[in-house]
Amino acid sequence: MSMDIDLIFKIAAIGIIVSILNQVLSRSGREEQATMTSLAGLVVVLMIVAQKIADLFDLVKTLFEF
Amino acid sequence: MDEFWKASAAVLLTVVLILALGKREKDISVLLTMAVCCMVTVSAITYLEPVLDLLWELESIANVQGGMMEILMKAVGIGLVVEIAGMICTDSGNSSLGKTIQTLGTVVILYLSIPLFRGFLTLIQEILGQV
Repeated sequence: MSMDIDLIFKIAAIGIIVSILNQVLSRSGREEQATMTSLAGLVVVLMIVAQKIADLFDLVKTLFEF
Repeated sequence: MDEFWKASAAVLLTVVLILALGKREKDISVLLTMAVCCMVTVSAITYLEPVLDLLWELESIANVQGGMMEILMKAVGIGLVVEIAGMICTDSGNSSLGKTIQTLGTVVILYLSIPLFRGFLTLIQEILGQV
């Protein structure tokens, strides 16, 4: 298993895009849509991170004989 | 050793990206921290694998009483996971959650080490019985 640098960029890119969309939507008076965009971005990133956490837990379980 | 340089670079890069995300997207920057912590720990554990193999080899040479090494290994695993989780919680401003997970880890390790204490107690009783 190797370090996935692309994943770091992917998460940061999602964060920046969500931030920009949030600003644009907020300024144009669509507060609800801005909130929903933030939430959608968060869920997408959470799904990616959950996979990584599961990988770590599986590795720890295998290696430390749980 | 290539993995070590990659991990170091990734951590430094993440710090800059978190600063770029700033306070606007605090939740995503916490998730980014979590992902990088997981990936770096996976790399660290990959290096730990031969060390653990050596420990198992030493255990078979020393003929340590059965089950003792497994308990120690589990304690190390729990300690590692709990430490990372605690640090992430503290970093994201939830130090109470961090302390709670660390307490949970300590209690679970104590629970796992009951057979060790029992073995020690039996040994003491045997020694005292012989005197």
